[in-house]
Amino acid sequence: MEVFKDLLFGFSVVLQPMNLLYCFFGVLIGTLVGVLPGVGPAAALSLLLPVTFHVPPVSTIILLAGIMYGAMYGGSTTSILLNIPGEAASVVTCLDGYQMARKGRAGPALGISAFGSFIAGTITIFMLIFLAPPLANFALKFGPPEYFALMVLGLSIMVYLARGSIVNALIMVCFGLILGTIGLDQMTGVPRFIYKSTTLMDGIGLIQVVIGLFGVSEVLINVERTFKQEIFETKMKGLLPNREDWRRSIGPIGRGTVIGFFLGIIPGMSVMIPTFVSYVVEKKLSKHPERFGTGMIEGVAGPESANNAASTGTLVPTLSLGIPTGAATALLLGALMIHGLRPGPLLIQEAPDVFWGLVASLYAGNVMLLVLNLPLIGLWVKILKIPYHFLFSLILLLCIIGSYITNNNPYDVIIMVIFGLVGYLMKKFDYEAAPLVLALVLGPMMEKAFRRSLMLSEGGFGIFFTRPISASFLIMALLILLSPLFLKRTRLRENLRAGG
Amino acid sequence: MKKRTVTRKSFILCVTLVCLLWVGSSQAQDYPKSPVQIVIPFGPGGLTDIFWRSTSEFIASNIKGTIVLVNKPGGGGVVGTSFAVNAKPDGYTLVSANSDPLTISPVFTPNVPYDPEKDVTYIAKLAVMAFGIAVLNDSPFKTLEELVAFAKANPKKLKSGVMGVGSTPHTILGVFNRDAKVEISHVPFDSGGETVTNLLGGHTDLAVVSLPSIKSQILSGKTRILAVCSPKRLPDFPEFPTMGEKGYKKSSIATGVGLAGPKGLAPAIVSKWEEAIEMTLKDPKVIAIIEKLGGVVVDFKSGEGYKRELLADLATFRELLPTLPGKK
Amino acid sequence: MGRIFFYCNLFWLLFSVLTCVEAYRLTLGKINNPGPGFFPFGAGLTMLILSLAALFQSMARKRKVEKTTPQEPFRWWNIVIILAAITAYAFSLEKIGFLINTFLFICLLLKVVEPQTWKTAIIGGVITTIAANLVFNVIFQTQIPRGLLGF
Repeated sequence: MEVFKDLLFGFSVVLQPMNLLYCFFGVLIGTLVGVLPGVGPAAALSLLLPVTFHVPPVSTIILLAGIMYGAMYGGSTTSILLNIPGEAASVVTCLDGYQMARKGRAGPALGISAFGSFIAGTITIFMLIFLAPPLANFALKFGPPEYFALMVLGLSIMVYLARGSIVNALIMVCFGLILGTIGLDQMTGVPRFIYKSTTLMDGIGLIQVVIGLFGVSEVLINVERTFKQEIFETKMKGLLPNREDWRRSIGPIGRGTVIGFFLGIIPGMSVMIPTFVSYVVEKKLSKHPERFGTGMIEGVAGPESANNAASTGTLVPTLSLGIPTGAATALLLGALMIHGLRPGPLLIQEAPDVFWGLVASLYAGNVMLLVLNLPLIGLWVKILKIPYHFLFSLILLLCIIGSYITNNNPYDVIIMVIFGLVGYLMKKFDYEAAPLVLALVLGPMMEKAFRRSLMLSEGGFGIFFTRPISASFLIMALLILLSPLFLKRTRLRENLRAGG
Repeated sequence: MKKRTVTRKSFILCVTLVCLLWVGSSQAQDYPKSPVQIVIPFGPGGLTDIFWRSTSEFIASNIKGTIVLVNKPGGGGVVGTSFAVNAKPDGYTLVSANSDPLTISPVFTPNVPYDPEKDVTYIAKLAVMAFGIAVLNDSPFKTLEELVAFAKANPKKLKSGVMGVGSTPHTILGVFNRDAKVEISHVPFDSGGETVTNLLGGHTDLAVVSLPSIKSQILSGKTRILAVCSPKRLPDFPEFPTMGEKGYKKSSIATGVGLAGPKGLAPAIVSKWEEAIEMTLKDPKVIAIIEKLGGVVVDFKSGEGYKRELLADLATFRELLPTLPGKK
Repeated sequence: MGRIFFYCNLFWLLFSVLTCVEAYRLTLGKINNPGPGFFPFGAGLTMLILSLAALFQSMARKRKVEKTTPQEPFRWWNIVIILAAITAYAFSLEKIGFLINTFLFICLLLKVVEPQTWKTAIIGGVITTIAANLVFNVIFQTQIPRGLLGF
């Protein structure tokens, strides 16, 4: 088939020694970037942009794509080992991944994360090749009403996310929604809850909140009492996932891939959302949902695959329409533009070596990351062996730098401190962080979509229901929200009775 | 045992010394003695960011120093701009002086922590980014006049995607609405990219976007521009008329990219930069890079010239303030 | 122990009331033309209802929460010290500079939170500072301030 010929051509481009070197370099930097909290792929990409001038266009693209992927891989490392999300998308991995590490199963967690990402990446690359143009056009149909409906659906699945008291989780959602409104209102320019602080002008930084809620609070909980009990189980139970792990993970990986890819295509979709969806889906499908949050490997395999799949998904509108879906893809596009390449429908025709070289390099990058990361698992696991009375100071330093670096603003660190305290209190009083974070991310998107929809319809609510896509999402959300009423004896119902 | 302690101590001492030397050796002669920090008040990947990253190397070699680009995004450019203009005027902290935070935000956003007239030393203007009114290729409006005619007959029916309050497109639409005496509704989005996406999906009827963000759509034939907001026709798209030609000169607002610093910056430092930048912008290599971005036109002005231009814009916007939507 | 939950819910109650008040000041707009205050007001209102519900629930039933009395003392001062140290680090970073600040920070933590000998604290501080400098300033060229002594 025509496509395979092109693909082979792409591989021939990539497999040139120079390009392979760039690929390797890219994924290496990307991994390091991903591991460090607060430094996201966008930062790395923009730092390296000047370097790319001296490098031919194809190699540039290969390098940059490698970084993007590597960052996705790396982000889960600190999530699993230290409960610090390397970037917002890795938050969900903290939930069960870190617990696995505490039980001495850091190796399998890291391993399944690497393998899951690899499998997801490989599959989605093929989906990218074959489905890109029709998918991109489908993605365009998502206007404000569709976004709103999708966000509502996203929040409704939160019902299944909560482990403990439902009411407490809902309060967390409201809290997250309110926090999300802090900042300059983009639509009217009115400052909301800023109280003259320039730091808050753009809202409460997600990274700072997440690092505080997860990373710092975890340290605080651990230093409450003397370190007589081991924070981390020292006897490592294996470095790689065993057969049992694989058996349990195959399903989540598959589902995560599909969920991640299709959600990732939607322009502007945060990569974080597919990971939440995957987590909830796995929890719902599991025979032991109550054990999620204590170290279930499905809770790592699914979201990690979704993560990687979504990254590939974001390339769909980028490459086929020339529309960036986030900071990282925007930079990729910018790099292309500087080299005189025009991403979009014409890219394939005008610069086939770039396009197919990119696609082939995505695959090569995935392989390289797997090869790079697996041996590293042994190294990472050793980090956990550092005695906690020293390790905790490193963790805190990492948190501080991570929070500071996004904007070079010391007040961001203060926000982290505040949320570290908040997170600590939440842990003590049985409030969960995950719904809060989800609401913090979804809230602003939902609100903007709502207001824009009303602007488009000049105030009519019908717009949500006359458009087929948004109507279906809203109906699904309604069904999900009402489902507990129909399910007779569910953990949910018992929870509702016991909660409060 | 004692021997080990001594060796350990001297090891630490050596290491510390090495660190000190390493840090200390980054001093050179004359200004700029150490790396100059240029703050980019927008996030990585945005047009301003790409612009500076593409050109800073050349500028740095012309001024014989090192430039370090720092992103401090937030508030539509206000956060980064405020940080830089409130820094010490020693010439080592400068900022990419974009028009939006200097002429639009002070008018629309309350409590902007600087006065664009008094608190800023303008160094130079580098380039201008043009915006345009775009529609889908199969849109019924072939010319700006047709658009205006329809809008007059159907107030509030047309929806235009723009970037949020405090941005140039928002202001352009506001001024246009006033001058053409029409009521095209604003639908604010977060970025140029989002605005373009929604136009492509048919969710808005038209969009006011920067040329670079829509360039590939124009070339692929999906969209076209009814008018560009720039003083002259664009070199890459000479077929699009300017707003001025259509009689809406006031709506022809472009975003300028320049360099500025805190007040009290030494004139000697300012002229050094002016010279270096002027030299850079004459280099054909640099011009080629900038033009590849599409819709960005090199437009060198001295610090004084830029200041006059920006202050004039500021005055114009202050006049407009009460007439624009989104303001109570 | 049940009392604590009562106070928690009370906190949320107050928080939501505050939010609603502030949101109201931001103009609510109409339902089909919402203003900036609309969304926060809605969220605040929902939280209000939820916290009231939770409040009544916690009052109405006895919480049978077992509290295992731990053997070790509850070292709340550690928490305070850590948070204070981080705050101090944040504020002094731009004045003192990265290297010195990091060194002091690590030394402080190692010495105070889980007491180590001076030797361990200082060596730990130095190693960490050097490593961090290597990673962040050299490899990544991230712009962490150099402060007074050019450090």
